Amino acid sequence: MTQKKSEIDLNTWVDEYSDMLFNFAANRVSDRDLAKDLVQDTFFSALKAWDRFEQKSTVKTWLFSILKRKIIDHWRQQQSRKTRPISQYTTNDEDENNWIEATTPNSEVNETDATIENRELRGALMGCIELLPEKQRGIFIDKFIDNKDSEEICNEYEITSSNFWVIIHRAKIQLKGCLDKKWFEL
Amino acid sequence: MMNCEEAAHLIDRNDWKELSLKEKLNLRMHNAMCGRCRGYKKFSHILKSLFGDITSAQECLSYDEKEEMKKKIKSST
Repeated sequence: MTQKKSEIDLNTWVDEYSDMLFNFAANRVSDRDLAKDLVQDTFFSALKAWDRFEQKSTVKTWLFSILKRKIIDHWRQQQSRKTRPISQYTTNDEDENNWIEATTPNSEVNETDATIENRELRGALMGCIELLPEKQRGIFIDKFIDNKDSEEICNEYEITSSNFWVIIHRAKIQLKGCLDKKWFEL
Repeated sequence: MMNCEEAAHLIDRNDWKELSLKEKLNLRMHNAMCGRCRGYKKFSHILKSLFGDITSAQECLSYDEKEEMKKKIKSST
């Protein structure tokens, strides 16, 4: 079952997969144009790498894995594109204690500063994720980036639900340590 | 009164809005007296928010956008 790298492939890919890929990206980068670019880059990379695609997984899974990589890279590189600030500074009413005091802006801070801080923090976070042990990283990414159901992940990795939560917890504790270190480094 | 280990597990599940009202209240009671778990809850909230506002909102590309995309990719390969 080999397909040639023809224009037809590309047309079919775009018709068949662009909406799901775009939906996935748009829900993660909060910027329509950027999401579109990421999807476009995904198809572009896929075409280039087609010869190396071993068809062990479906084309859809493969395309998603490329897109995920691109989203993580985007977050990591803290590109200078415009992104919408996320609402980390206006937390639930029950949270009155600030986590990292030093990085928590007061009410005078404007949106731009908050956006830059989000971007830097997210960049640092992506670096920290890379440092997680492989299995932890895979499970963490599946849960936090793919937003997969816990059950699905448990089946995939053949772990119990309590194992799953232990792994998520360990990953979070590692990330916390890593971020504290990176974030306060001079 | 639950211990920190139990509280941490509730906080982890809270990332996914899986807590019952009773669990929420228990967590709140624990956190009222435990600064460490309050800190962990805060961290969890920030961590979760850094992954973007992942919603289930359906976003689609228009026909024109898809055609444009095809053209752009073809021209750059």
